[in-house]
Amino acid sequence: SKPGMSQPMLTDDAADWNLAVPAEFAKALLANRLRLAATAASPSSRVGHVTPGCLGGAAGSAISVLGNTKFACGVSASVVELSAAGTAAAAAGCHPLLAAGVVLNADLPPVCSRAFRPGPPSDTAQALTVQVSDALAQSGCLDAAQLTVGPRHRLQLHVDAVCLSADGSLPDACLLAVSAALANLCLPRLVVPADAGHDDSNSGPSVRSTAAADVGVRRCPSGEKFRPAVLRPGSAVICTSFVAIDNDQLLSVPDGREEALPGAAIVRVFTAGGGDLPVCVVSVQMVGEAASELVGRCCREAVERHAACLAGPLAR
Amino acid sequence: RNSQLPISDHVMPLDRYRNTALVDGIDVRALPLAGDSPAPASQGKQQQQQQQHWFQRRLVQDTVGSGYVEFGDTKVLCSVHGPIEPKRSVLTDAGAEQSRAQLQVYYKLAPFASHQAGRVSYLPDETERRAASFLQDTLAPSLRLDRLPKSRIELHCLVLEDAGCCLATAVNCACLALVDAGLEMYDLVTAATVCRPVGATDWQLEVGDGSNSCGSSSVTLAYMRSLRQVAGMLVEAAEPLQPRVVSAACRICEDPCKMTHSSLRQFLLDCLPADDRTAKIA
Repeated sequence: SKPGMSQPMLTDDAADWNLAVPAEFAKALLANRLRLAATAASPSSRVGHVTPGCLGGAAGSAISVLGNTKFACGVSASVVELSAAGTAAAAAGCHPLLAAGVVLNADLPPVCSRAFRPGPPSDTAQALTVQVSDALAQSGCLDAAQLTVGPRHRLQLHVDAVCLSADGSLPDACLLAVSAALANLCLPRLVVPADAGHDDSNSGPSVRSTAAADVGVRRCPSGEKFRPAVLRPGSAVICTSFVAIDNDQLLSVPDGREEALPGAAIVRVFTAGGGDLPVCVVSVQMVGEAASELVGRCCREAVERHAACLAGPLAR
Repeated sequence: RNSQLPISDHVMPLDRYRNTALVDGIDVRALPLAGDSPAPASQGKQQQQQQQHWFQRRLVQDTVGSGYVEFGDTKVLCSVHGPIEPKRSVLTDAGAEQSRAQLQVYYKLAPFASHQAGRVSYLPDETERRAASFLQDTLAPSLRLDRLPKSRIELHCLVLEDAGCCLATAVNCACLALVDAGLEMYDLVTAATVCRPVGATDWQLEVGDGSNSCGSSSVTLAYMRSLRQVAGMLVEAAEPLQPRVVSAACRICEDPCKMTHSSLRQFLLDCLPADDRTAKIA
């Protein structure tokens, strides 16, 4: 993150040295103020790039590119009918994001890296899902009231973030895509007819009949669309990762090679805010040990990067 | 994180590792229109537009080779891993297993890929397994697998958006990824799909704009232009088709396959450095 960092071109000897002793090679580069990460090439690459609304199969979508890490996020919406008692019973004991009606999953398929195998999600994918879910739930940027449809119905959002290329800073790119996809959400206008039948039976959160006639909610025949502000206007939830080496050097938005450096600590700062909400640090997660001054510096840089993201790729 | 799973009469495989909804819902796209008004008729295309493929390679960092293809709105990403250690199988002959590389294909739709109402499950279904099997049977003959004994090649295919002609686009993308990985091939494999909607008698080329939802039958042809050989063919129909009908469909597929072959070849030539490009053309 220091000014003056540039991306060198590796000669064959340097590439062999990097392959044999990557830790020493990385330290030698840093001693000469050099970084190999694609995110260090320019300030814009450190902020990332987002393409909203690029996937037609989803109601809201975005593809984020952060260096060599790429995420595609799609949001689908469904209508659920909940009784008041069922809502309370279902909300008790489950994640706040699920209770708010947002089902989020982050997937790391084998297509994005050799490290991930086909089958059930890896520990990294499950941890990423938990990190992103917690950040969204604690951010205060989600407005669950926007999901209400009539007195007895609610929208339920399925947010699926799929990694296309994994090269470090996975939560950064994932949250960038999720924030952009939620801001890009566009749904058909829904109406609840006045003569919709009311089912007073209290059957709780168990499966109700999924036949369309039972839901009672209809699409507007004119094809009108509306954009629910699930994410408060102008706000976003962003993660900024740092790698602290020897409690001295700080590398922001590291790539996979820098994250794997032995003896380095990884600090992930989750920030939220924007628009009418002040930008603040939601949580800080650390792997390894880092001095408190360094963590404070990470928080300050993360807030600066949050503002840059709001002004850049997430500008609406 | 373990949310309460709904009780269902249908025995479905449970996905215990991911977040699931508290209550089942109905996709907003599947909701009927208010006022009992009929659904708006889909705007059929009066003239089939020749859609172009858009190719890109080297999108995925941590792989040997990768490719990305867009055909209209259909988007497919493929990556190749290997050569890696082969899988041991007691059913295969040990000699045959070691003399040639094994090609293993995985095919998956993203949860938000479908233009039809409803999400695609994370768990692979029969359609995806059939598509993976078709890709494997189609691409294996075109590869010089005998040049890589005692090894395995993995091809992973992810469909980001399925707006029609998905399988053929996956074949084209897989071929691009294999070339990017530097694997020797006898020829480029390109594919096209024709379909015949319900009640129609003529085959029409399937395009990736979400307009044709062929409910009756479809034929996907994979073709190697230089060798003038069919690499694979998949016929999906509700009722058996006459051989002459299938032959007619294959003849219609041949020209689009040749055009895609030319486009792909030109793209790969353009990716070469200038000096190598001159040598290749010469």
